[in-house]
Amino acid sequence: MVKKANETLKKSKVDIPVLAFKCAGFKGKTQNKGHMIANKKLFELVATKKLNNPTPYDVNIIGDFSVKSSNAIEEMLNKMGIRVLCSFTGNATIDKIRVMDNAKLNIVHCMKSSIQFAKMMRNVYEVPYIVSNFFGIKNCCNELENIGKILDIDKEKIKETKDYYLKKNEEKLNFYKKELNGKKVFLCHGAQRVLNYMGPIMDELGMEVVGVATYFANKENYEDIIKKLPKGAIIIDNPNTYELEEALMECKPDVFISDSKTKELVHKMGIPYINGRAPSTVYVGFDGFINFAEDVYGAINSKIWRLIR
Amino acid sequence: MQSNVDLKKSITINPPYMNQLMGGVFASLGIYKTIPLVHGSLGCANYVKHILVEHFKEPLEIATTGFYESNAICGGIDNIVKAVENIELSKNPELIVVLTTGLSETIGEDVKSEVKKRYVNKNIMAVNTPSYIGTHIDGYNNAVKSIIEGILEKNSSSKKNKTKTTKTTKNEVINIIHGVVNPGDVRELEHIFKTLDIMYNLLMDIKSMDRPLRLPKEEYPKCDTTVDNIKNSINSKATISFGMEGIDGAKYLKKFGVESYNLKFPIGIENTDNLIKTLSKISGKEIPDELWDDRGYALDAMVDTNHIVRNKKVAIYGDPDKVIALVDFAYEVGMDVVAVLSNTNTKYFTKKINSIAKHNDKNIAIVEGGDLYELQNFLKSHPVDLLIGDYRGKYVADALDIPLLKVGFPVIDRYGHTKKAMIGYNGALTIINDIANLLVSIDGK
Repeated sequence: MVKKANETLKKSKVDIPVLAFKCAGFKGKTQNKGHMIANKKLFELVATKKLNNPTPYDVNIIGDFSVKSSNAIEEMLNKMGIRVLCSFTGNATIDKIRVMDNAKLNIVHCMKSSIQFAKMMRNVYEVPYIVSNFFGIKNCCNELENIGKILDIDKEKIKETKDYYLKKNEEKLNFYKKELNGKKVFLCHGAQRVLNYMGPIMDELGMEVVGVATYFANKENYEDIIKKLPKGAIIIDNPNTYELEEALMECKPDVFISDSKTKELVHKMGIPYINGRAPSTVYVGFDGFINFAEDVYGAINSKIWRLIR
Repeated sequence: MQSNVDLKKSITINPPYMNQLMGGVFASLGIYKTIPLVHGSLGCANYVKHILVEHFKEPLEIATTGFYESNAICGGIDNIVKAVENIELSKNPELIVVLTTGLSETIGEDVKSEVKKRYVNKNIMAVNTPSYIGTHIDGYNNAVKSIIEGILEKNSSSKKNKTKTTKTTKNEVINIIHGVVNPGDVRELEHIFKTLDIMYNLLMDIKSMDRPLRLPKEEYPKCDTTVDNIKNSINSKATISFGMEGIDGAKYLKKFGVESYNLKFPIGIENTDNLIKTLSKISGKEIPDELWDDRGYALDAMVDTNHIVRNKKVAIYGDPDKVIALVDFAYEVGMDVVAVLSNTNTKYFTKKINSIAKHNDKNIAIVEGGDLYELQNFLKSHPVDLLIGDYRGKYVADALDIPLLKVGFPVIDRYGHTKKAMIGYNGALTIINDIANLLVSIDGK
């Protein structure tokens, strides 16, 4: 039906692109499939317009769906002299998507489904891609170096950018490291985000991950998670609220990091919570990691939790 | 003046209504130890849960049977069986309400009779809430009736062949079906009943969606409606219901000899007077001084704010019965109602609004069956000073730069909203103060 309507619309004199997304609600187990359907359709838009002033430092960011996060990453890259053509789809417009093929590199951030889009770009327009993780100070440094190397950017410039951010945040980071050391965290997110978050939380902030709950993880994801997890931590696959409640009772974390679905539940249990998707702030990049530490510190140390009985 | 809307239009922009499932879940959440089981795909349950959680800011549990492709073709009764087993194991509820969705209704499953056949001795029943027809108000109405009917039928079948219309001896209790309102409204209703010294039996008590934070967390939220209370509702003297919200349930109870009083929503002074007079008549109790005081406080606020509110133009949209009552209230405080929009198709809405307008010597444009975009277009040429309705009016309010008073359900972008009452004298007090503050703050910051 949708397809037919789409065809009819295309024939009529509508001078804007009309895309039909065939997303049956009962098809597939996760929203991942929906991302893929949308990616495939939006891919039709790529290379439908000429870019007037291409440079050798053009890249795309693929797979960050948050406007603020996309802006943060763009800002970092801009400092190194890199231009972001399109942040697909966190900070995208139709015109930006149309010129994506001119990029010299695709930076895939986080999402599982975006790799498929990057692969399509590689196969059709021969744009190489790298998988990146901008959460945590060390990860950011690595990614900047990595991207700089591929695009052949002056080493001094990369170092300058890194040093600028490191110096800016050094004092705050040391404070939070000291304060958050040994605090217990429970992570509940999609597998990719859990994996991205676990490393920096444990290594850089010195916190202890006591439990992990993930949605839609596959076998490989779990192998990776188990490798990183300390002994005695709990892992739950695709929990319902009942199971989650039991797990939380058992490990009694200091802070619970998840998306908005479980917020009300953990609040009712008197457990501090922060939204790992960062709907109103940014957790990626150097400054973002400080935001994250600040939020965790603030949540744990609010006086409210001590008043509840 | 009346703008007739073409019902065959093929697009709806900013609809002011939600699906039947929402109303069905709303009703089932108001019963102690009850799990709503949504018979459809994951997204159906997720949408309803999202809106309810954002509105009440409380955790709630909705189970789903999780339709996949195979279920969409072969049917999903087996899923219900598995889901019920699972819920009983982990939550041990007193009642499970199976709610159908657009998908399960489209493939033509007879969920209702299937559930009835399978679970003869258990408190499990199905409600038909197809998403493609009606609104959350219809859903609430259907669910209230089906739940009462289901519980009573199960109860009477065990006592063998008692005919449906057996009349029992009545006690002094009055049933209340409060409709789609907030916990604050229910508290205000309770206040009225307690002050009048009348025993009451809340049917589908949504106070369960307002929980204090105390440890340890209780497994089920406190709630005055239990399965036993619903069973006992046939022994009550009368049932009070407001508008079409729960009217079918009240009519069903009438078969057992429970008198049904269907009133206007008690919003505003006269409508509340009417409720209290009716209660006084049913129970034979005098109206105590405390209620006269409440009435006086509300009137005092209305007089104090009159110079701000008077002659202001207003447009009201939302659930039909609340819109009717709010129009009454708007005229009481001297406002001029320009346009109204009802989100549910009813036989009486146009008639009632016209009669209120005639009674007050005014004209009201009715956008029945329309959407908020139509209302927006209408208001462009007929400017107003204030919009009253739920949170979805913010798109209209933003576009036209007019203030919006958020009332009722759903309001997901305000905190503490569910504690506020809209009904009763205290509700009138709250609304009029809110309106005045809203209008003052635009002029003077």
